[in-house]
Amino acid sequence: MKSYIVPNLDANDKQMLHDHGVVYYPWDDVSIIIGEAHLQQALKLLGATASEKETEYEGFYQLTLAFTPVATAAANTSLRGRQYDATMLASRARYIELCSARLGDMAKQAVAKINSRKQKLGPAQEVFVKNARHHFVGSTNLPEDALKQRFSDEYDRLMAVDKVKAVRVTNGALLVFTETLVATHPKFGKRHELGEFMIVIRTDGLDDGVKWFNSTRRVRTVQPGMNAPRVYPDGTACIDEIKETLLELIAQFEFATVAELAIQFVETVGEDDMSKFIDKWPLARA
Amino acid sequence: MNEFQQTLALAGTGVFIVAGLLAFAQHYLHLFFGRPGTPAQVFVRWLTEEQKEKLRLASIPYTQTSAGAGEDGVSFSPQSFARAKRLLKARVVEVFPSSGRAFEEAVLAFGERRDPALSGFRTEVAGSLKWYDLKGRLNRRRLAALVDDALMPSVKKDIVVHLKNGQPAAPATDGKFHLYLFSTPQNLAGGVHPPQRLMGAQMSTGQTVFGASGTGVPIIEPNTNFALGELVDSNLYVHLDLVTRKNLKARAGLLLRILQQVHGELAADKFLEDLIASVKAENQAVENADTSEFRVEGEGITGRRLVVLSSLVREILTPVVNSNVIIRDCNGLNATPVNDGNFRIFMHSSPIGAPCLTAPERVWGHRMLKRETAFAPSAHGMPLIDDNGFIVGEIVGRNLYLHMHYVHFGAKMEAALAAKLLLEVRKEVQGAVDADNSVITRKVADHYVQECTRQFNAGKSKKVSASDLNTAQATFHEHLKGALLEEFDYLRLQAAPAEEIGREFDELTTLANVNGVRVDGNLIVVSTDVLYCVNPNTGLRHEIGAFDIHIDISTNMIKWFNKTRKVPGGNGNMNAPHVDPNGNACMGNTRDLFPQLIHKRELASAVQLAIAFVESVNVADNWGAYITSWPVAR
Repeated sequence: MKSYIVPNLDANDKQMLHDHGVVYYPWDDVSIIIGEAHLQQALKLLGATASEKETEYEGFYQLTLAFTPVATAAANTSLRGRQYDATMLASRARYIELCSARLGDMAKQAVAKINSRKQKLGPAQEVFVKNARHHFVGSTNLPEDALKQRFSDEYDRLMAVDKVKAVRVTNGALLVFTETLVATHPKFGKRHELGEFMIVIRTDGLDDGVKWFNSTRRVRTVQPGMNAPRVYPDGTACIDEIKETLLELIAQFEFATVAELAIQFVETVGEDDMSKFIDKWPLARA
Repeated sequence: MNEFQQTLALAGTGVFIVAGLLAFAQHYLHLFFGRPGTPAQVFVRWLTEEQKEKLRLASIPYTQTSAGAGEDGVSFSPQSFARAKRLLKARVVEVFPSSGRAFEEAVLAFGERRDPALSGFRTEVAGSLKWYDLKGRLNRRRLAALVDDALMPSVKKDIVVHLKNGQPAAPATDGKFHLYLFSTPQNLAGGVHPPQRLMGAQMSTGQTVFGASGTGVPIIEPNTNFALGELVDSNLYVHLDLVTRKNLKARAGLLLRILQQVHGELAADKFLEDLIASVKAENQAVENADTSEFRVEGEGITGRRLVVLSSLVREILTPVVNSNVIIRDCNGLNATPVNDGNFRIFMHSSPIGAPCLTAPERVWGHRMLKRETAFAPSAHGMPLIDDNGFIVGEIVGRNLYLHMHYVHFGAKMEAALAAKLLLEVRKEVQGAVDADNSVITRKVADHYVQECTRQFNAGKSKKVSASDLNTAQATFHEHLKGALLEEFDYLRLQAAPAEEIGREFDELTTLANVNGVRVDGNLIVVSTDVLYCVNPNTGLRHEIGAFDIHIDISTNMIKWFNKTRKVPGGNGNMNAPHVDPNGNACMGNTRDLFPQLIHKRELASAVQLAIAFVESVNVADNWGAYITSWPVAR
């Protein structure tokens, strides 16, 4: 029976393996030991391929993980009942290679495009949210007492939002702590447990306005440490038109609706390239 | 010598003496009596409150003034300056010329009474001199005296001055204090240009000096944030070239100022004392509690960092946590919260996650001496948020997680930031101790209303019309939409693993009318069965032929080659009604469609469309009209 040392895992990776029933033993702060029986499942969950090397300990093998998709090419299996001959297999392998090479270049171009766009999006977002706030304040003629009452009522509404467990206020931000949030797989209808969240809402709407932090688990999908299928490790969401709505609501001090939408946002998964990783989160208990 | 010659000699001597006196006056007397046409004020910075009090008691007039943003000091008339110098037992080390300003600036050294215990220590300049080089000896003694006066009270050990002249030097550990002039602990490629003015002294613009290597405590010029030097244990590196190697002539004023700045860093006990006193003065809540029963320990953290942190923790935090405090440097690793009665501080850690955020340049307005990747909040506890919204750390039960180190060296600037941070922690801890749940709920509600009111009032600063808002929204919307598509493209690319591409190939081979796919170089060749096209005018079905469709991935272009026949009509021997002899199609308004599909790697769609293209005809088109030339299918 072989045992493998799996290196360079962070707490999120280990948590994810644990959540999916993979049995492992700690080796050092960032490595674990895993039995042969769980190796394939673990690699699948990590989205990695591995090469092994003998260690000085008998029966223990050091793995080197590769997370970049590798052209594993033409397996000799037939697909859809079609048996490929050697020429077709070579063509298939070349096709994969060709497209993978294009993907690398295109990914670089796409990153450059995104970065250049971010340089414009950031300031435009800031101008929009500031203007929206100034405009809202300028067009509100409530006396101070009425205004305070309005804010007080809004706080009560915020506390009453479904799945909001607690709220805290710091200088410049509202922290909304939620109960465990769950999302349903759009294809298979299975419910996956995302975890409890802290949603940070900036009261001035700056710095993206809303950020989501999963306090139960973080998962490696398109990046390691994702807070939710569509929420990056730094708490920012993938770009979505909901952002405009959220900022508009923040500018109008409608924080209860912001919280409600923010919860809905993480609980809703579509069929996009980020959402499809919902199955990396554990199934929710019935 | 006759009488005339004697008179002449006397007159010559007289002229020489008068000229000498005038030169002396030109150089020095203006500091005592003023001089017409030159600045009438003498500016002095860094006088202590105690020294100013002495001046007030002696009725020596001075004015609080500034030599520029952040360069506060006092100015004297030349007469008052002379009196002040005597009173404060100061000597003028250098006078920085006015350079267009309304005053000259005097750099002063003060003859403080030396602790007799220091008399056993010596300061010397390393290296040897020729026995006859008296001037060299004199300059060495002057340089050593300057360093000795400035540093010995805080260094309290033998000091060796090294003139490195731009060469790096490894830190020494021989029990002495080493001062390396114009040097660096690490031989880093390239240099930096200093700002035009440093601590009041004019700098030459073409000069290249060393930048901070990050090895030790950087000595920062407060106004420009320029790293003047670096303190690595008992080794001080001055990055600037301040001493001429040939004659050992020093830019004494600037060197003294740098050494005075270093003295402030070296005297950690003094600056901590000052910092704690100012924290107590500004925060009445930080009382003089007796915390001696509690220990503050460091794990993986020693030396100056531990001294600074443990002093601040003892004064600010232990009175509210009422327990021992353990500070552990986790260096970017996770740590599990502990609940054993002690209060724990985990530096650069979080219960979950990995460092993934770019650190801000400043936290609570304090400049970070070393920037590193920060943890995102785990959301397990109460976050500490600075005034720019950065989540500095989290309190999880009796564990404080700091998302970065914040204190790398134990420098003064870091100590000030740590004090601010600990005060925030103190507030949170105290709030949690003082309140029960209902009180917390009420407090949060009040705080919510206060925060909204504050933001509402801040929103009154500017009037924005509906049209301005619409314009801003339209711009934002446009960029958001663009960003959405670009991110979608990126994710699609990222999410396509090898097998998915393989599956796509399999799909290609199973498409209707496709009987083979092969890939040569950058070319994908899709072979089809015989394709047919119906003439919409006659309803007759024409046989076009079997094709090889060439998709060139490097150019995103597509070509059709008829393997069965070519038919004259339109533009020579055509491959299909709308495909010329070279395989290029006349695609009309669908021209951009194929390159787009190929670019997006939607090759199955591209092939389906390519087949459909051959199987349809526009008879109104010049080329399409020749459909009748193709044989009618049996």
